[in-house]
Amino acid sequence: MIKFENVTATYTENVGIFNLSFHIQKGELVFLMGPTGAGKSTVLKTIYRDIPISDGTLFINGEDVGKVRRRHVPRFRRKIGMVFQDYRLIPDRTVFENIALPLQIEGVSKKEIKDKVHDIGEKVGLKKSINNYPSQLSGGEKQRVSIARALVKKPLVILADEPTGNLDPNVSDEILDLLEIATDSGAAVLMSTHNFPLIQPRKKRFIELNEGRLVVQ
Amino acid sequence: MITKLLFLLSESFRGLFRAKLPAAISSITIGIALVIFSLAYFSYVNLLGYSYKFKSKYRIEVFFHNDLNTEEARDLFNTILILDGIEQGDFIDKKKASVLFKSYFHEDINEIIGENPLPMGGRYDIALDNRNSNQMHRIVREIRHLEGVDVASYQQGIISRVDSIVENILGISMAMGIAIFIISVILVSNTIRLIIHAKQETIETMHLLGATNSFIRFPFVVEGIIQGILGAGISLLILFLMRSLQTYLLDPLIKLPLVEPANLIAYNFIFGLLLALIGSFRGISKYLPK
Repeated sequence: MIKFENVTATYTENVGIFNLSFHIQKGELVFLMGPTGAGKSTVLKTIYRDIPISDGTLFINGEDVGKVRRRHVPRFRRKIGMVFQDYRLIPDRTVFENIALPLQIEGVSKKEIKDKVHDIGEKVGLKKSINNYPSQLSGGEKQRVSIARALVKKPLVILADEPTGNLDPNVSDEILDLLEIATDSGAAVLMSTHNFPLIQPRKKRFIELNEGRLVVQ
Repeated sequence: MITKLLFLLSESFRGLFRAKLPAAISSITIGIALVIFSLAYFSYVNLLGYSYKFKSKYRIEVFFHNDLNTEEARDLFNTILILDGIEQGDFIDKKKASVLFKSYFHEDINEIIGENPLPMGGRYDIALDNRNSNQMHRIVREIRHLEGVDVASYQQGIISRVDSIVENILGISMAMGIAIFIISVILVSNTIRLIIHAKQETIETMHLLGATNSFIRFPFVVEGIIQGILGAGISLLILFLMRSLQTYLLDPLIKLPLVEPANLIAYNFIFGLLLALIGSFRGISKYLPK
């Protein structure tokens, strides 16, 4: 589902990712490990085409990311679900509206949106707070909203950038559970983290980066 | 498509209600800009009206040779009448010339010298587009070349002076109008940019979720249109109040024959929308990827 073939993507000459090759299968959850500045976020940004690839090839579900035209980037991004450390929720919209946003971007009908949002809201445990605003939620709840927003459109790929970075260990575990559940629908999940103790018990594959280069796969 | 459109329209109205104060500030800014613009336009139209009114008095006076009989004089009069730039004319025969003489000098020429030596001639009004010193000079030159014409003249000095004053004032008004428009666009787009700046994170998030530039831009543009309409409404209200105040305070003292531009309402709405649209596009463009 995600295939890096000798990918290099740089901000400056020495900052970025270099000659990276790895492969993530459909329905697989993979952790991207490494210290701050190792290039974890760059890997994710390369996948959602926020920074261009200067060398190598990156395929997402068989589509060459480097060949996606600039004007087709929004369409391409709709295949990807994104979860962020800072949640990136829209503050003046309710939980329902935040989760519904990707579907509204796709132009899904009102009824379908209602059904899908309530369905996913229930799955991630947000049924009671569906009409609340982000300011009324705890950190864990906010991250659940972020995950629900990523899952609602049933993406092929889910990218989670340090989703547990601001959360306490118990809540972090619950968030990992939700991401694991997401793989059941066949999505490939790539989660960046530097919290090794959190992922160790999960016995999942991890990729370790240092200074933009692959250390362990 | 319709679902998306309805969503975007509802987003536009919600956006206005969510940010009532900035939207009100933006509408008031547009309104004030339109008031200044309308006053400039009002002055321009009035100035133009007055200059046309003044220029409508521009005339060319022609005196024929005294040896022409009435028929020949009338033929010559008609030849001049069809020249390019002449609107209409008034034939002056000897009798009419003596009447005019009497009206100017309060004396009867026939009684003074026992006969009427006054030449026949004509007075010509100038077509609207030719009421300037250059065109009038051209017409007079053409008339002077005609056989039988003794004198052809116009008030060259005054007309040149008036032309230059009117041209200068209109030029300055036009430049001021353009300057006001540019300042208004900058002012409005900066106000709208402030509103959009507050939504910068929302815009970024929407991008990451796969929203296109037009999807993100649409609600802001619709908001801009609404602000433009509100701004035009504010402007027209202020102008109406100013007009009422002018009528109440000045009319008993001085009667100003002011011309009220017929399309002021339409222009306010058109310029309000234009300002808001340019403002929205300029405001949002900074936050959208190229």
